[in-house]
Amino acid sequence: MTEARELYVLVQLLDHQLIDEGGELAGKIDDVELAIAPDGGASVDALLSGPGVLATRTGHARYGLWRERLESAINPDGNAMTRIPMSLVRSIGVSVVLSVPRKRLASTGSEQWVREHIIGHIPGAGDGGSH
Amino acid sequence: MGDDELVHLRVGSLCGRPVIGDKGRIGIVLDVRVVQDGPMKDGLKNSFRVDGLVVGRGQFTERLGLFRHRIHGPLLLRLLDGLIGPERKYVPWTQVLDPSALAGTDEPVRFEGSTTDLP
Repeated sequence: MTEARELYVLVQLLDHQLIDEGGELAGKIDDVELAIAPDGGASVDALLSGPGVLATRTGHARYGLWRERLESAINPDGNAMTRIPMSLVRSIGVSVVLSVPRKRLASTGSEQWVREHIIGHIPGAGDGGSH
Repeated sequence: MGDDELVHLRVGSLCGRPVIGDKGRIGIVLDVRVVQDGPMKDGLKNSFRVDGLVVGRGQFTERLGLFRHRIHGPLLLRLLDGLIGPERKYVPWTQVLDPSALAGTDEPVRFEGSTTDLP
């Protein structure tokens, strides 16, 4: 009988690299959300990644909350996920591989916004190679 | 089970909290151990069930990257761990009192019964 896999969240999940469905780097795991049932049982419900989440974890809760709200305002259509349900996790190893593209994650939302609204307007911005 | 019956708690807010048992404070939460043998979620795979908490005093050696709760390796390293490695205890999640009350607060983790060695 195969033994069930075990993990230590702080050591083996937090701050580990996220990789999207296309193999692109997609940020880091900034926190992990547990779901506690009425009977007291708990399980890992989602991975959290994005601006503000890490700040909240490192003791800057007020800034972290503000930053998470700002991210929601920048992406009002809700396509930038800070919360990644475990159903979207394809595999867990040294890195965590997801089954969604990175553009759907909030961890790249700020980068995309700056690219579109600031960098993209600088003369010559379109001349360089993409990456 | 409906999602509105679930209480959500971030591991980041749990780690670092004092842990208090029958004999008083025994340390702080250092880590959360999960095992992938929980109920099937989304019909695809077992969920990661919270099995227990790693508890100890201070995180200095973990922050140095020298120890990850315990050492697996050559005899010399294990002896070193025994000499200077910090003591780590384990609190099974089933012994944590009222876990849902931990969400949205800074309350210490209270548990009943005895701690065990790390699994």
